[in-house]
Amino acid sequence: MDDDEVPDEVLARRAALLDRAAFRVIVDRHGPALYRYARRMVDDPHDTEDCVQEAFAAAWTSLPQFAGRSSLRTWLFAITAHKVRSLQRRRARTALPLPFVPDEEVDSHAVDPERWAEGTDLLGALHAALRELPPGPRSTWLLREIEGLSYEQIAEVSGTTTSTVRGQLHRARAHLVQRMEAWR
Amino acid sequence: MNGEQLLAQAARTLREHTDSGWVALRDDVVALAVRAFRPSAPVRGTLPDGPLLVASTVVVSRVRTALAGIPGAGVLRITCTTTPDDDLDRLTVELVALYGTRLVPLAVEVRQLAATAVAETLGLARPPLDRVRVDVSVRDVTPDPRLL
Repeated sequence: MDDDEVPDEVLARRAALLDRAAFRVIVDRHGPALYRYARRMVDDPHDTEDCVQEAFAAAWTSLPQFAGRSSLRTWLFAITAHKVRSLQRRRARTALPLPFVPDEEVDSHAVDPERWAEGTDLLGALHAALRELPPGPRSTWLLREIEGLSYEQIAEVSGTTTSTVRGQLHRARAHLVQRMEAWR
Repeated sequence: MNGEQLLAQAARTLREHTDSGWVALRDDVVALAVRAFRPSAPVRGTLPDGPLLVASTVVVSRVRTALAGIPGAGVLRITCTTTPDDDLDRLTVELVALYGTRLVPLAVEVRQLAATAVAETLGLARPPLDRVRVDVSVRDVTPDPRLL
C-alpha cells in the first residue's frame, strides 16, 4: 500500500510504536501546513523553525499518549499553537512594553507604511494585513480559512470556546477585507 | 474585484503555498524529532558476562518490527510490564484483525514471533514463552485493510 493511502490514525499508531518511517510520513503530510501556520504567527523565520521543530519533537515523544480523541491533524496544530504561544510569551517578556494599545485592539488607521509597502503582490498584501492582527484572531483566521479546521477544532487548538472563535473570525475577516480593499 | 474577492483569492493562493523554509527544514525535523527522548522503564536482560538493561521502548520497537509482516493483522499497542527487579513479567500485544482472519492461529503466530523478538533483544537463551507471559488481545476487527 502506498504511504499516501495510510490513514493518519494508523500512522500515529505505528509512530507511537517507534516506527520512524510512519513518523516521516506524518511529517511530510502535515509539516507544510504546520510550518505555513507558524510562519504567519511568528515574524522571524528562525523562530518559526524552532516552533515547528519543537512541535514535532513533542509529538514524537507524546505519540504513545495520543488517544485519538481528536484527529492527528488537530492534535499537531494544538501542539504547534502551544509552541507559538510560548514563544510569543517569551518574546513579550523580553520586549520593551508599549505604553498603550491593549494586545487585542487593532487601530485600523495605524499601519506601518514599510510593512504595508511589502504587499506589492496579493500574497504579500495578505501577509502584511495578517501581521496587523493580534495573535488570537490571526490564528483563528489561518486555522479556519487556510487550514480548514472547524470551529470546534479551532477552539480545541486554541484552548478557547467556539463563541470566542466566531468572534475572532468575524473581526479578522472584517480587518482583512478592509485591508485588501485598500490594497486594491 | 472588491476586498472580499481579493481576500478569497489571496487565501486560495496561500492554501496552495509551501514555504521554502519548510523545504529546507524538513529533513532536520525528522532527524531531530526522533532523537527526542521517550521516557521508558528499563527491562533486565542477560549477557554472557553479566546483566543487560534495555529500555522498554527498544523491546517494543523490536517486537513491532517482528510483527510488521503478519498478514491480516495490525498492531495497536505493545506494552511491557516489569517486576520490581526490572525483569520482564508480561508483554501485551493488542491487535486489530482483518475481517475473516482466523484469530486463534493469528494469536499463536503473534505470540511466537513476539516471544522470539523479546528473547533476542534481552539475550535470553530460549524464547521466554514459559517464563514470561505474552498476552495477545484482538481489540478490533475491520474490513478495511488500510486500517491494519
